[in-house]
Amino acid sequence: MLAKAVSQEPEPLTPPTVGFYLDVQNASLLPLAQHGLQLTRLKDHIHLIIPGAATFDTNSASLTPAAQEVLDLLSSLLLDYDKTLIAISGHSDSLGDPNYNQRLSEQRADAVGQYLNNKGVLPRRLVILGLGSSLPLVDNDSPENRAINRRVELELWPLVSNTVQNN
Amino acid sequence: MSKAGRQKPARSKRLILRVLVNSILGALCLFFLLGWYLWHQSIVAEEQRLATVAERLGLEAESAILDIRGLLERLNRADIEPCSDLHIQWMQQEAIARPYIRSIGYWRAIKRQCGAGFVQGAILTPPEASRIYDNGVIAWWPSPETAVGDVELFLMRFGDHDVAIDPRLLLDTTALDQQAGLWVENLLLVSSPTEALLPEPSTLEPGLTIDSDRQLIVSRFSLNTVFPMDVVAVQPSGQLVERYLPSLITAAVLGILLIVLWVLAVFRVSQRQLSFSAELTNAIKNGNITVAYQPIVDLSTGRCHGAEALARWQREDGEIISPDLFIPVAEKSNSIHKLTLLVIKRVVEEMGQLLATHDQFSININLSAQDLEHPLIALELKHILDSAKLPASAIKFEITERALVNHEDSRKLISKLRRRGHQMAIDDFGTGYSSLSYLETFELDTLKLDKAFVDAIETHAVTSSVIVHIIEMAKSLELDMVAEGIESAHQVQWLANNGVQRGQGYYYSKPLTAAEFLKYHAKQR
Repeated sequence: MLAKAVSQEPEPLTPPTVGFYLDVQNASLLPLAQHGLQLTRLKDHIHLIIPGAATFDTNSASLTPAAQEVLDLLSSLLLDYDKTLIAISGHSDSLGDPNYNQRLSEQRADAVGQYLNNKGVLPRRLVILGLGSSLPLVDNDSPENRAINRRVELELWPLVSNTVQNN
Repeated sequence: MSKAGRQKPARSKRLILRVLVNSILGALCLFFLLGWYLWHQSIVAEEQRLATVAERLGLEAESAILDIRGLLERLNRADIEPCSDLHIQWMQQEAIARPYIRSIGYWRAIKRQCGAGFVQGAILTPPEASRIYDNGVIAWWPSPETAVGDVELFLMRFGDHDVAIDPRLLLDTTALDQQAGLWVENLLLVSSPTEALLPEPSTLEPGLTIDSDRQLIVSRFSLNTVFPMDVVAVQPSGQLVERYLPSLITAAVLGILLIVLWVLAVFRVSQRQLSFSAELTNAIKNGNITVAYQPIVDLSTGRCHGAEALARWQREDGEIISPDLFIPVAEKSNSIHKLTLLVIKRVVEEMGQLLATHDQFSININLSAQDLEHPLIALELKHILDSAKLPASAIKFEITERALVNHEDSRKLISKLRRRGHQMAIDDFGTGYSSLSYLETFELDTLKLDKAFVDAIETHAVTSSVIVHIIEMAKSLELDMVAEGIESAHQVQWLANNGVQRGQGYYYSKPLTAAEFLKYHAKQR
């Protein structure tokens, strides 16, 4: 996916500037942390976790007004920092029907992707995945933990020329 | 008694030695105390200087960084078209205004769009930020990745603007003789001089540390407004010695000089005093004290009724010492009683004939306070008079007011002497501190009016003078009065008119030798 996105990017990043790019982008995303998003700068990409509870109504894939506000800010930053692939993955808890959970997680990831696309983020930068309850952050053994596991994750992968990335 | 006298010189030497040793010890103590204090003060001053240096450097660096952050915030907030002439001009002005700013840039993501300063083309994009703060400030500490030319720059970015800072100018160590370093988050940002080996702030207590192994005074100053920052300033303690040694040496030399002078002075004074006292003791022992007689005259008839015996000491070099000087010395060296007995003996020798043949005639002899407390004086006195076959009435005693102060022994002796037939006069009355009521409790016969009051007769409006009250008082106590220091007929007239019976003074005669006095007395006839 990443290789394809890089090939479609007219001006990909050069390897020496990737670190700088990630640092600066990470700094620009810091205001999102104030809206409850978890922001982590990893070695080669930036990881964002959007908690499900404030973003969607229960059992729904429609975005709450608060979530739209956050995504407005996010989309403007993604437009400024356009040299990244945005992998959006939906996650659910393990309670209930796995198929339903899978479908809901897909719908939720898609809702975020659609919203960003509507705000101008190019579709070629977006990868959308529904992962159901397959990748829990914590054990699904309490209501609090299950709430943590219901989420949408964004991975911002820099588009770097001439590199082989495994994803 | 003569045995004690022989021991005296040895004892004196020991005494001098003791005084000397004590004064030297005292002076040395003072010297070292002062030296320690000066040294301590100079260390405190130096430490404070160093602490001040660290604090100043820290505050200056911090204010520069705060200034940069404020500038970045203003640039980001400004509603201005990016990279317009206005924008670029603004950045230029801000950059020129600050010595530590090498460039200001406006970025979109990782593309420097425009800016001001020297990094026109070269865009610094170090691979890893040193710190990304929660408020969005990104910092890259100086490193090879931030170097332009030889200078490793300190980069700060906030939002779309960044600033390249020359860290060397954050630490203004011009005119400093200390070494100093600026740490940000325990990373050495800059040091002065560059090669200085400074201790890490994390290894130091805040404030001052004395590194005695490496002979350093170290000051750490920490602040934490934008970043955790530390300034460490270091000064070799040898430098301190160098700086303060000249003044310490000067102080030491001066101090030693003063000590020597002081010890010499103490030595001279104590030696003089001791030799003076020893000489006096010797003079008393050898009978080298003479007696002068100052006639006491009846003011109305002008006839001499007696005399005051005054001790005279002529030293071997011929110098005549005033009783005002040697009486206190004799009192101090406990030889006054011998002096008094000597005077009594002399008087009896010289005036015995006269006293025996004139029963109205008497000689006044001064008793000191110590005499009054001496247990043997009454006995020895009786012995002298008895062997000369003289009545007690021939000798009158004068005691000073001070001698009367609260001593039961004195009171008893006065009473005893009076019972034998000696008259008692109080001398120097009015110059001490006794009151009339107190005086009443002693058995006295005569009051001697001090010369000071008599002088007042000549110079002041006498009616308001104390002398009038003293005379009234003497009358009420039924005391005879002898005025001292009469110098004029006017005084005689006034005193006689006011009921003073007798007087003495230069108007009548100065103190005379025994032979002169006998001649003077004979002339009266």
